[in-house]
Amino acid sequence: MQKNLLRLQNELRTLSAEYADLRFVEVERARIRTKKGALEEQKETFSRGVGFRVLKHGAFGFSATGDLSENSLTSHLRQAEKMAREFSKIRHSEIKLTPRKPVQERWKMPVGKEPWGLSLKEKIGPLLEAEKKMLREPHIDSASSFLDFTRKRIVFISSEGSWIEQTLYRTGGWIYGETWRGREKIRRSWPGPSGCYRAQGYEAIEGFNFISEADRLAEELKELRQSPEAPAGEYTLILKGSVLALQLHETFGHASESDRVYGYEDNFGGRTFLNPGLLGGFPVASSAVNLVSDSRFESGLGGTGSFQYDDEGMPAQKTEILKRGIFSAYQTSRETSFFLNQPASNAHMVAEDWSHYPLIRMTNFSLLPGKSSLEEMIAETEEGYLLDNELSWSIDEMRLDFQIGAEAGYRIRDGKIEGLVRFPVYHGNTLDFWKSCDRVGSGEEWQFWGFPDCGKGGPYQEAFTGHGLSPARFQKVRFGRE
Amino acid sequence: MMKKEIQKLGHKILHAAGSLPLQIFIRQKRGALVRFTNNGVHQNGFQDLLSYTLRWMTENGPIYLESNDFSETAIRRAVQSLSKEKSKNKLSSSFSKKKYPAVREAFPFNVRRVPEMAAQAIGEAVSLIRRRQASANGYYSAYERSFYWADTSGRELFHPATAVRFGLTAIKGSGKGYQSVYQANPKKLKIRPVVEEALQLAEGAAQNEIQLPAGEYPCIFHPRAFLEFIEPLRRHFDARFASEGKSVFSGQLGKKLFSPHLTLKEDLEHPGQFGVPFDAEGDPKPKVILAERGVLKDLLGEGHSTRGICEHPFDPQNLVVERGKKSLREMMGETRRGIFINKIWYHALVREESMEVTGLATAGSVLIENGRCRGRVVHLRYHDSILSLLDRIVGASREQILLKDGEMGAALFPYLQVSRLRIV
Repeated sequence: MQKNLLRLQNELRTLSAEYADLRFVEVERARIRTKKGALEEQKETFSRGVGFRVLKHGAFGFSATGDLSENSLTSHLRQAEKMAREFSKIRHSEIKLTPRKPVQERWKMPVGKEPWGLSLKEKIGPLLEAEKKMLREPHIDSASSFLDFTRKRIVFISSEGSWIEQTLYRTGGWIYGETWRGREKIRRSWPGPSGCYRAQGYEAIEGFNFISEADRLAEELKELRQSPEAPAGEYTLILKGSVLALQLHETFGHASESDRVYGYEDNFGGRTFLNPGLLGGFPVASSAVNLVSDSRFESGLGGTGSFQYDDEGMPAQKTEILKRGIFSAYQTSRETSFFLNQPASNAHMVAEDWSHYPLIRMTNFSLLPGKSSLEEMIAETEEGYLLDNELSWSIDEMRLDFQIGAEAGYRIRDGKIEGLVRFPVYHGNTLDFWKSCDRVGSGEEWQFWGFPDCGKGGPYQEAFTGHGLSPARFQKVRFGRE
Repeated sequence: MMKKEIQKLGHKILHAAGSLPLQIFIRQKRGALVRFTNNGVHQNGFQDLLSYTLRWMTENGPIYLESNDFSETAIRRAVQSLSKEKSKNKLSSSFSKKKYPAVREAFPFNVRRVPEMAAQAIGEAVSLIRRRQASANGYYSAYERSFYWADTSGRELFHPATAVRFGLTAIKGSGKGYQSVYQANPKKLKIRPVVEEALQLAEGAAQNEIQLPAGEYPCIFHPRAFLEFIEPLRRHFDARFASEGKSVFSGQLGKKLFSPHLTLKEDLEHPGQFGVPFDAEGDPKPKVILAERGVLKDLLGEGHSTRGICEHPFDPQNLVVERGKKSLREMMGETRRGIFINKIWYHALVREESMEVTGLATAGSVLIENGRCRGRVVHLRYHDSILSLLDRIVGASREQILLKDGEMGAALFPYLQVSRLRIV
């Protein structure tokens, strides 16, 4: 393959086009499901191939193949060129890219414990133990767990002279318990219902402490069988963990993707209320809210969206998206940064694998820590709820009107947690909601939460996204159905 | 890739497997999806994909291994890693001749010409849109696919398929309208009617902006919107899930759960349907009447497995809702005050036991008064139960629309009229 890549590098350079690149990607993924203390299903996936992107006469073309023979690779490079040429005939505006200095680098994400070096028994041991622990309780009907390991090797080569090799890891998992209350299924999960993912090896799974969390899950499920449903009304809301990550992700995370400004996602992902006229001076959140997009691996242990270079060869970097509540920047690519009259892309182009066209994606989209703490927030709340894990979510095309449901809520009265409620659902408008944020937890409580399945594009593809955050408090939030 | 070439790859894997009881599923996909706005094409991609999934049943459940490396070394390594686990299956010495549905889904075209086909279709669409002083964004896709299934007992199945799709959101003033079409035969794709309908919806939506108070309203659903609306219910048609007491249909067979206007089938051989005639375990897909005139009749079992392919083991892939007698025009004409739901957005399951869902209606979803479109409804969020809605169906149109549904199937739905939907 190395010989083929060298040959292709030469072909890219001599292609008659404004720009061209290729990504050779090898992805290995192992997913394991256990249930009721036993192994239930295993799936291993291996995929490798090359995706070519060519910019010719102001239009992009993309072609990808898993056939790594010389003929196939050359043929697909030509196909990408042909696509670009055909689409250049029907374009009404020309794509231009902001500049990029070529770079040559090799980088492998450091991990503590290589997942592919462990036996199946070693991997699932803690999960089976946690499940068995929960199942000892008579009210627990079922317990299940999931582990997910990805190792991805990318070689990026561009006509400008870049040659970048990276190896990335993504590791995640979750455990949940279920109890039935008549025909109603009640579930509690840890660290979140679709897991928590980190840019780490197996040490991420060890860090989740499944065995000790199993006790808490079992106790909460027992209580939830008797708990009332969350009432409707206006309350103070404290969010932490997975549900706060989702809130961030769905509102400002997606809203600040710059391709939405140009209608690229209208059909599928939607648009954004953040129009370019708001950049630099418009308050879209309270001054307690500072949001950054930071894809640098060294920015924090385990940021799920971390890399050294994005899939356009731009170096990982930090961008302030909201500074003290003021909208400051979009997530961009080389194409959209040109439209926005910026000197360079801030490295947000990511493709799921070799067969997909890279798109603007969140990387590590985080809420910077404040000065408060969860304990303080609860103590200062007269009447409200604390939520941690999401159950359902829905948001409009502009990323404004949302509704989020959680697995359970902790009821707070006069500064103390009183008990649990079932099926809390809250809703709001993104601008009002984030303007009501009056407290953000400090760096001591700051952690990364990551999702594996942010969907976008056609053909549909998924991306890992990370969200660093501490708990945060919001005032006068509407609960119940709208 | 021709059938012979894929068979050759299948035989290569079978040879490496020897007498081990293994199942093989090879999937091929070639073609492109191209997305565009008024200004031209942005995201696009020609994909040439070929992969195999090996399924190995052990005492601890199934193991799946999926790869696109067809080298001898990789195949041998894959088979060896699977065979380390003790198998649960015994190799059957013979297998009964099973009857598979006869479905023609392949209408061969020159896949290398997809860029030209896409450019032509998109050029035509954008030109129409610009002439009407509107803007648009949409997609065009054309693919050929092959599905090959085999096991080491000698069973071998092959199904080729082609598909072309075109979808467009037209924007005119403050109005938006969405329309899409799917055909198995690329020659049958007509761009102009799709663009015209999307524009018509956009123009209707642009007339007025209407605030509707929260409440319940009669609605007519576009077939696509209705298929998406009932999405969370699909896995509950799994017979095994129901036998475990976990489905909303557990213990409900034979009961009248829905409106008498609803007859819902899983029927690949229904005229106008397309899909793969075998499931992920190589069994033929039988016709199943899920609901007949509102009564829950049957659930899905053998022949409907999607294990290793989809997240849920049994999922309907060829849904058909029986048509009604009135045309869409007649249904709209008879609507005193109601909502036409053209497309839904961010549809989410809020509570599973009641199938309570929420989402938004968009892109051509308009208020109808006395048979006429009055404009788009601002902030059209619904919050209701799928099960209740299926009980409130009061009519189905004569027209049925074919919709692409998953990798291996399609859905054939009419427009559906419900007596009320809760808008919040």
